[in-house]
Amino acid sequence: MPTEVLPKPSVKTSTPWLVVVFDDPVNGMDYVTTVFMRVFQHSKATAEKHMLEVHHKGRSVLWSGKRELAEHYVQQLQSYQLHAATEQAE
Amino acid sequence: MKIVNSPDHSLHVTVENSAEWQLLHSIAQDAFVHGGPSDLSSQLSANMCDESEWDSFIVPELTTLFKSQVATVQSALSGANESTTEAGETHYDFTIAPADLDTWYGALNQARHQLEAEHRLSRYCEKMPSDIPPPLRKTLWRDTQYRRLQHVLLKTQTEQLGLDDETSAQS
Repeated sequence: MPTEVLPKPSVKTSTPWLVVVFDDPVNGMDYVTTVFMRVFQHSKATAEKHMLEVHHKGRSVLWSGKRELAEHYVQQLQSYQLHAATEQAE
Repeated sequence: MKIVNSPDHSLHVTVENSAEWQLLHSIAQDAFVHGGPSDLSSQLSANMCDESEWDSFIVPELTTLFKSQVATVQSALSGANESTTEAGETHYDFTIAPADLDTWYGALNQARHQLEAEHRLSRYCEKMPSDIPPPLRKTLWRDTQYRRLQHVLLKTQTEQLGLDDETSAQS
């Protein structure tokens, strides 16, 4: 009897959620950098890299992972009056 | 206006003339100029993909937070010590506690967000004063003063939290 090769069971991976921060004309560069350091415990260099991405490209992805935690981060960012949102990764 | 940073990271503010006193009272007025805290909360959440749930639960929380920031500023001003100098000038003194640095920054930021929403002041940031419409010059001046105050608050806050020290944070 020939051996039947069964297809590997597909592992359903959940698509990660992104935390995105958008540029705005009010929040200064130093402030945005400080908020990133406080919310994500980024080093100053990492925070500045994201801040510059926001400034030059209009948006930066700060974090990706589970939806609940992404929403928690966005709520924190909005409490600092940054324009932030969750997005589902493509 | 004199702002002195204390060793405990509180700020002692001395207001030396009526223009400065009026400026501080304008923070609350400007924070409500374009729909107020609830409008700002909605603006900040505009890019959320599932707006309905966010609008029901998070936006009201943000609105409450933003209103409390403005109320703290108003309370500090109403509790300021008033004194008269030998020259007959009225001075006002109050202290911003370390725990209120964020709150003051937030109230000033609200005022600036609302002025931007109402007047789009960022259009004029690199223009000569003569190119700015006269009715907007006072508004732009307030925005500039708010930014200066925010600079002092942020500097004090980052020192307090040790965020000005590169090695203190993790990547």
